[in-house]
Amino acid sequence: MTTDGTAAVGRGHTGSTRDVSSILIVDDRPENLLALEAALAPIEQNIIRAGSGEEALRALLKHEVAVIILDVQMPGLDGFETAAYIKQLDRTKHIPIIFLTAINKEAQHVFRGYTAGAVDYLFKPFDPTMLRSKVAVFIDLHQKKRELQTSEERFRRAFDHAPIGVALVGLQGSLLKVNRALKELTGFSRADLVTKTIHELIHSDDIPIDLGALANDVAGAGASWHAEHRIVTRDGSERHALVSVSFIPSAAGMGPHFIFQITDITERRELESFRERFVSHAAHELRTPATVIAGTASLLYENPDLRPAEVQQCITALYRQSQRLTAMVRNLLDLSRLKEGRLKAKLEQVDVGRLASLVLEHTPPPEQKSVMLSVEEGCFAMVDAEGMDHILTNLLVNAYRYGGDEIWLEAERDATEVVVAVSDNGPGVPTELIPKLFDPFTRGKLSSAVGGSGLGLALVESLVQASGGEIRYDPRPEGGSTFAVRLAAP
Amino acid sequence: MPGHILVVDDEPDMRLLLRLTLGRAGFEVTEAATGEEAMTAVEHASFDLVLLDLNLPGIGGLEILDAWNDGGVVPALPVVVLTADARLGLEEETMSRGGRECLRKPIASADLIERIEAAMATPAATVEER
Repeated sequence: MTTDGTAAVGRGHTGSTRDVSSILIVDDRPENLLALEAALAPIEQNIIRAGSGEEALRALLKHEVAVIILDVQMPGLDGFETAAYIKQLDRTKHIPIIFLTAINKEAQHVFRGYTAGAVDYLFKPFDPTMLRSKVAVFIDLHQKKRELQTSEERFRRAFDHAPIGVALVGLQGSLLKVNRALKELTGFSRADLVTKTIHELIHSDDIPIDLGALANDVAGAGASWHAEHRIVTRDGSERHALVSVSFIPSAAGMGPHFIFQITDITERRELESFRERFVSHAAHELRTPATVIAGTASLLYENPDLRPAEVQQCITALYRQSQRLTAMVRNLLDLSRLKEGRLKAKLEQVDVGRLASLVLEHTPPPEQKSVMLSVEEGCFAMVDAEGMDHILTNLLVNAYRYGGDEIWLEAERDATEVVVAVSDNGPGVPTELIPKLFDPFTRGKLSSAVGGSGLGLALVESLVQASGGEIRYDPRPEGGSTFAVRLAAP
Repeated sequence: MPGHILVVDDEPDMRLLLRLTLGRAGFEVTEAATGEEAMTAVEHASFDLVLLDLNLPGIGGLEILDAWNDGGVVPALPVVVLTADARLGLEEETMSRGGRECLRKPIASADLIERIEAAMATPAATVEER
């Protein structure tokens, strides 16, 4: 292809970054089509040929066309009739048409009937340079329009796909335009949202947003306003959101309006509140063993005349409380790391039977309690090995503390999953505790007496979930409780 | 000075520590592991002071104080709260229910005995006037 001066007509900048447009040429005589094609070749655009008006209409259904060059005298649908059809369809009515015709008065009259700009004409025999310059103008126009559409589309996508909720809000608070994230955040459909005001989205107990004052505050360029609000969702639940507002005095096609950016910070807030509770719970929980250890140690230190039985009781207390302190610190650390997503599970094939035996060795049942181990041969699960050790240890310790004197540790596998269950014949979990059983800081009534930290089951649940599994509690039909962990089989 | 103290705490090792510490200071000690046990004990025996944990299984420490306040047990019977709970405002919660004082764990045994003796030495009348 040549890139001479003619070819560059109407293509002000680098042609390579632009798409090629299509020109539809319509003439019933093949030799005329050839002549047109030759004349247009230097413009380097895609050329679509049609031998009749009907063929031209069919071509327009299939192709996006920048300009049409239309012979007037044709059998069947003539040029004017064809143009009339083209101008009737929304999809094609904006396509500019250049008529080719012999000079006659009737034709000149018809041309005046068309909207100026959309239609032009050339008299036969046409001057190729003239044709090219007219076509080039329309091609340029078409490509500029396409660029504008692309940039509008890009903006629309950016607005719609923004990861935070965005709404254009009128001066009275009506939601003019909302994006997808806001729909997801609130649960309302776009149709629902545009009938609402921003005030209806903010929880009624929150300080209402004063749009009048806001318009003054954020009127300056670049000024914005931020506040935390609770957002009302379709199902009535609340989400915590950071609301940022800026003001647009007036933009093309729109009067003055606000831009609201609504970022869902519910999870961050939950994590913050978990951290607060965690710190106060940890301080509280650690205080008891610390008090006993410090007090008992100084009692022993200051009183060398304690009776041997008392000394033995003190040593037992020291031992028990320091064990408890160690386990508690480990659970606290694990839980806090898991909650903040810093402890990643390393999934691997774990021999459940072997691991269960190991756990029973390092955490044997207390006197008067026994564990029946029943694991199928070759029972492997996909789980974090260290996590699984903690899971089994915590479930067993739980059963030792709260369960009956008979405890079962069982595992079964089928094609897709492994179920590991720890059951006992004790009193079972009190009904009122079941809904909150896996919440951190939930403790059984007897938990202090048996050294519970209120973290074991929360940790177990977090560990199971980190390995992609799930845990559930069910009362045992014969009495007692069953904790079942489902994990993927390799 | 020494007298009969009811120690209410659900943690056996904590009760052991208090029993030995207070015992060596000359006090007679009775233990209760739950709120229910504490209420029964107060009905059936006479004490010079109650050392009360707040975070108890079943009836909590503040509920026990409420019941004793309604029943006129306190402030005649000095009740000293000893808790691992770090929340602010527990002093007010204790006083408003007729308790004498709110102490936080951990506490040195010498301090504990001093506070207990002070509470036992303060007549109920001066408490009521506050």
